[in-house]
Amino acid sequence: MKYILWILAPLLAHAQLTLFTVDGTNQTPVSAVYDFGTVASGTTASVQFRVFNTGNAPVTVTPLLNNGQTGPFSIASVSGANPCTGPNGLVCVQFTIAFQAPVQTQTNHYSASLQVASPTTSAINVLLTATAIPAPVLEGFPPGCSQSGANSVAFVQVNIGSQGLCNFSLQNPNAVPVAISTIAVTGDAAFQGPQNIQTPLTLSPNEAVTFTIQFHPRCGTVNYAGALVINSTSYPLSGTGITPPLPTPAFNFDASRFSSMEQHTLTLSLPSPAVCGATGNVNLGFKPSVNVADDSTIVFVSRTSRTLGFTVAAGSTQVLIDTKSSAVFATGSTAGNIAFSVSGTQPALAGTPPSASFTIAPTAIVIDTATASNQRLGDLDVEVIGFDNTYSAGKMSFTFVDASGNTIGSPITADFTPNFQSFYTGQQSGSTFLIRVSFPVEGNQTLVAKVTATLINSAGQSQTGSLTFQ
Amino acid sequence: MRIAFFLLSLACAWGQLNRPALGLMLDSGGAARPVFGLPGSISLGDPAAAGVLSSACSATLCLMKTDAAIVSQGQSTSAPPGRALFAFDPTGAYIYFPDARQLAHWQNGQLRSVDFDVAGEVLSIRASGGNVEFAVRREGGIWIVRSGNLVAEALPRDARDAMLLDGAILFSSSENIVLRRPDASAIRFPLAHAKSFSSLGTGYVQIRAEGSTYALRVDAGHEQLFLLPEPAP
Repeated sequence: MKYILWILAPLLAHAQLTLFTVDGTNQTPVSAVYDFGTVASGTTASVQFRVFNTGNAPVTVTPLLNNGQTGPFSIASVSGANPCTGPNGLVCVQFTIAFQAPVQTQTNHYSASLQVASPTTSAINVLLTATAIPAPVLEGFPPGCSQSGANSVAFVQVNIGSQGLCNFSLQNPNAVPVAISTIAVTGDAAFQGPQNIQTPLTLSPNEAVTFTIQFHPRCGTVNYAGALVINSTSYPLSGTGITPPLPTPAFNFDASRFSSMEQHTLTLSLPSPAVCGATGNVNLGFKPSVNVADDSTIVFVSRTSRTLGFTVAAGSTQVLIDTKSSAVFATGSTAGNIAFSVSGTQPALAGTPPSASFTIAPTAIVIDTATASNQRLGDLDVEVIGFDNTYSAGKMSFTFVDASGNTIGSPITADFTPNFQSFYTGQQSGSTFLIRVSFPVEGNQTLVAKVTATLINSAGQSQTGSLTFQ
Repeated sequence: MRIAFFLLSLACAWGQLNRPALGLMLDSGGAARPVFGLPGSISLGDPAAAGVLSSACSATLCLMKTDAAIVSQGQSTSAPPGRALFAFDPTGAYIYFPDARQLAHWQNGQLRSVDFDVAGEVLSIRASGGNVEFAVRREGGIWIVRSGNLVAEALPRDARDAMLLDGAILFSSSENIVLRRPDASAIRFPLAHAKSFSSLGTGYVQIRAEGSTYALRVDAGHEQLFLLPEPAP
């Protein structure tokens, strides 16, 4: 690269203005040429300048770079007390000139003119020079990561809960030393480091250093982006976290045998802690074994629902069903098969979805309560509350007894099958029933003291026991 | 004994079928809903009324208290504001209004004020032989008293709430609810933090505890605690 040549003033100490560079607290007079030195490709070198007024008259100072044209040199942060009086040792104007070394793969030289001008004094002209050299070469290498394009490094996929580790090499390909002031990780906090290296450091020609960066993916995020910043050059980092599957939960019941008309509790447990929080649904299904479409009373009771959501906290083996440690379900009043399943888990299950089922066997009619009443003139009433999980009830017999305990006549049989079939038709809310059987009576109905009712279905027969008319 | 003039006719026997009804529950949304079936096979009916603060059912009658009325079978009677406690008797029901500290008797849609003299916070009332018994919380515990502050009995010191039933007293402690019969026999049901009792229907009490609604069957020989469904969202 050619230097841009300028006609320089013979002296820098002009009548009123003097120019210095500042490095911390040290001020150094500036000569006709100021060299920024070698600057790694893609990085920036900045130098602060100060102008002092050594004369007695106030002067207004303006720093100007390349007559205002842009380039790799730039001027910024101009401040001061224009117009400034002197000589009092106070800074007249202060400004910073930065050299941004263009990205390149070979050494190049750059220059620019700095003019510190004033309407009332001679200008100070300085030639600024810099040499841009190729940046240190960064490489991330397997097995923890690989190059994923120009200056980009991709970590291999890592299971959440585990840690990825990428080894990096930073090499100086130049024939001159390169100063490394900072190596830092920015962006997503999943990237942490660097480890095994300290800055600042200087890389000698062809020297390389190695260091590592860790990758800790977290629950709830799949893709991660960050950057490795060396001096002022940013190298994109990327990574992907893999959410581990949810350990397959197991169904646990509070009983091993189940019958109609019961409430039981279901709990779900994990064989090992969930790495990440999880959600899903636990489902209850019912398939009747009798001629009825369904029994809507077979549900998770708290919400009258056959599906409840569940959650698992990260690191826990406990499954909360609908925010509780267990769920109560009702077995209803219909024979059939009740099955439990799990669906919609996030993340997916580690194995085959669990299932459990049990059979509700057909039983003889279960009589909950039974009463006999003679309070209506001309009628004897027998009321039975119960359920028939076979939906085949109807046939009954009634044995009446007088006050002496003698059976009155033969048992009276009745078949209310059509009544029950009509009652059950179209409804799916179980087989519970309240039947009031009335017997018209002629004569003194109080002479009938007791009755025993026998109810028959396809699974057997049940008796009320001896009911006293009252 | 000779069965004179007694005739049972098979041909005339007839049966009437219905779903068994447990009573009326107050759901978490403030609606009163009929409860059908039996424990383990419960279904809820459509709301009988909304905005219900208290309700109770006997074998033949259900009463609901809205903010300013007693409602029964579509009939509304103006009443003091707030919730209510009920005690059925053969002619109707005694109703206590805790916010107003008033006692009244309801019969056929009419409310008649009843004088009483009871100190303490009334938790429950019960009709007994033409009188009213009160479960009251006072400093030192819960007492069963009659008007005039005549003490009938005291509940254990750890009792937190109480409900007077026909032939029993139901009360809660921190971890249990206890059903105590007049012979001092008691059945204990594990249920923590029970915070309110209300009458569901004959032989059933509705209980709220920790966001869930339970029913306790209290008729002798059938005692059972079970979870009540809440309406599907």
